[in-house]
Amino acid sequence: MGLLRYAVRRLLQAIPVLLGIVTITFFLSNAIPGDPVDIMLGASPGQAQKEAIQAKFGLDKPLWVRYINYVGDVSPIWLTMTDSFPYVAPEFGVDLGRSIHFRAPVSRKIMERLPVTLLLMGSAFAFAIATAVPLGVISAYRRNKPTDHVSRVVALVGVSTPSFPAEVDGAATQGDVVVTAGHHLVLPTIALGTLQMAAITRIERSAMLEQLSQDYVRLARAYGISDRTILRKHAFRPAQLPVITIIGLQLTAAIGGAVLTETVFEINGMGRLIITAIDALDYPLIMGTTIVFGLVFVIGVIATDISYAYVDPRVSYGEREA
Amino acid sequence: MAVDDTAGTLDREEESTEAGGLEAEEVEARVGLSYTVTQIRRDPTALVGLAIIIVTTTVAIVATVDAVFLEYWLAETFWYHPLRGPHADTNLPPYGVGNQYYDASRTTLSHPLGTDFRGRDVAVRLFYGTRIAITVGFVSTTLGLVGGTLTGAVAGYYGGWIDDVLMRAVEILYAIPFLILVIAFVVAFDPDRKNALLFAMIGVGIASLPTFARLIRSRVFSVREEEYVEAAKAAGVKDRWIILRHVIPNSFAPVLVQATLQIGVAILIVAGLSFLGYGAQPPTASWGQMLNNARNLMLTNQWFSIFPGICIMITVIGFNMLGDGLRDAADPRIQN
Repeated sequence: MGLLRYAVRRLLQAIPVLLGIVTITFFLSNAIPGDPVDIMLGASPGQAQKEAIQAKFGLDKPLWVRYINYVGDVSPIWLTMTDSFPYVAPEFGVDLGRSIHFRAPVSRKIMERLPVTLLLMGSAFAFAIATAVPLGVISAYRRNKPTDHVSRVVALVGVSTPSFPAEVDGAATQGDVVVTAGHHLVLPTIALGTLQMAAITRIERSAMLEQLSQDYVRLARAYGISDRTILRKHAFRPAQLPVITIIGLQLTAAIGGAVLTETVFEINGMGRLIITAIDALDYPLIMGTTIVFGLVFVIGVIATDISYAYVDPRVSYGEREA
Repeated sequence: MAVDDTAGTLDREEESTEAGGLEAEEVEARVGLSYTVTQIRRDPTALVGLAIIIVTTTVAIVATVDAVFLEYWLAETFWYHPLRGPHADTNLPPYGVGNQYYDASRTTLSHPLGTDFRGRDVAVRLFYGTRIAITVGFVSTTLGLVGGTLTGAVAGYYGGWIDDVLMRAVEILYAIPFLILVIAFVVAFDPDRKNALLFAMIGVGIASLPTFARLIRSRVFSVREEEYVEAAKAAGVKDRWIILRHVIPNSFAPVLVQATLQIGVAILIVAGLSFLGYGAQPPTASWGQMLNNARNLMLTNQWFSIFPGICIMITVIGFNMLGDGLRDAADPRIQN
C-alpha cells in the first residue's frame, strides 16, 4: 500500500478518536457543577437577563441537543487536518462556539494562543532531540564506561526532577532580564525540554544497545568495518524506530508540561488559557482547547507513524499491525 | 474445586515448558518474574532504588499512623505539629543561611530547614509530606494497573471487535492531555476541592490506564496462543478464569516494570497538580503544595522551593532506579 493511501487511512481512523475526545470533554465539562452564567453576571442577576444570556449561548436547550449541535459545528475540523489549522478554519465554517469568559469566538482565542505554545513545545523538542540523540548513542557505544554512567545519571535525574521548582527559581532570576522573545524562550525551553530529553536519551541508549548486539553488526565487525561506520551507517537508522515512537507519545506529556511551564513563567499560551477556562467554567473554551490539543496529539502520532517509512524502508503499510 | 485442580496442573505444565532447552522458550523464561527477581539482586542501581523506596515508604507509614491514629501525638511529643503553627518566626531560612532580607543569626538549629509563612517547621512538614507522595503513587498506580490490566487482557484475549472497541476507547483516553483530563476531572467531581487529592489520585490512575492496557495486550497476544491456555479451554474452564489465572499472571512482568516507573510519574504529576492548586489543599503538608507556597516567596526566600523539590526528586529517582533495573532484567533483548 502506498504511503499516501496509508496516510489517508490513518487520518480516517483518527475520526472516531477525535469524536471520542469531543464526547468526553463535552460531558466532563458539563458535569462541572456551577453555572457559567452566574459566574459571569456576579451576585443576584435578574431572571430575564440570565435567560437572555442562556439563550444566547444555547444553554437553555437540553444537554443532548447541545451535544449534537456542538458535534455538528465542530465536525468540519476534519477538513482542516491536512492544512495549517486553525488559520483556514473559518473558511470551512468550523465553529468552536463563543467563549463565555472572554466574550470572543473560541477559535480566535485559540488562534492567538496556539502559536505561542507550539513555539514553546517545538523549541523544547528541538532542544531535547538535539541533546538526547548524541547522548544516547555515545552512552550505548561506551557502555559501562564513565561517559555512559554520566549520561545515565543525567537522564535519571532529568526524568525524576519536577520541572516546576527549578522553573520557580529560573523565573525568579529571569524577572529582570525580560528583553527579547529569544531571551523569554531559553529558560522555559530548557525547563520543558529536560523531561523529554531524559526520556529520549534512555530509549536511544537501549535501542542502540539492542542494534549493536545484532548479528549484522557482528558480521560487519568481522569484515573489519570501523566502529564509527557501523555506528553511523548500520546501527543508527534502525535504532531510531522506538525513539520516534517515544517522541510521538511524549507529546501528551509535553502538553501537560506546557501547562505548568506557562503558569510559572506567565506565558500567555494554550496551557494558561485552559486553566483560565476551567476556573471560569467556560464550557466552549474548555472543549475548544482540549479538542485542539487532542488534534495536535493525533497529528503528532500520525506524523511519527508516517516517518517510520523514511527511517526504515522495510516498514510495510499493507498489513494490519497488532 | 474442579477448576482449581485444572489450574494447578496447568501451572506445573507451564513451568516445565519454560525450563525446556529451546531458544524461544529460553527467551520466554527470561521474561518470567522469578528470573527478573534474581537479576535484581545483582544490580546495584536497582538495590539503591529499592533502599530509597523502603526508607520513604517507612517514613510514610510512620507519618500515616501518627496522623490517622494518634492525631499527631508523635509529632507533637518529639517534634512540632506539622499543620499548626507558629513554632517560631515566619519565613525563617535554613540554619546558618541569610541574604539581604534575612539575617543568618536569626536562624536556629531547632528549625534546621527554617519555617514557612505560618511559622511551621519545614523539616517536619517535609517528613509528613512523604505520606501524601507515597499514598498518591501507590493508590493511583494500583487503580491504573488494575483497570489497564483487565482492559488490555480482555481486549487481547478475545481480539476482534471487542479488541477494536476497547482499544479505541483507550486511545481516546490517551489522546487527551492527561494533566488537563485530571484537572477537569477534579473540578467536575469536586468543585469545593475538599477531596481534591482523592480525585486527583483517581484521575491520574485513569490517565495511566492506557499505558498498562497497551502493554499487557501486546503480551497477551502471544500468551493466548500457548498450549496451556488451549488445554484450559479444552478442559472447559471459563474464559473469565483463564484470563485471571493464566493469561494475566503470565503477561505480568512488563506491567510490573511499568508500574514501578508509573509510581514515580504519578508522584510528579500530583505534585504538579498540588502546585497548581488542584491537589492537596492547605493545611495538608504536601510537597507540591509547599512548592506552591514557595512560589510567592521566590524572590526573597529561594530555599523554600529547594527542599520539597529535592524530596520529590529523591523519591521519584528511587522508583525510577528500581524500575530501570527491573526493565533491564526483564528485557531479553538487552544482553547483560
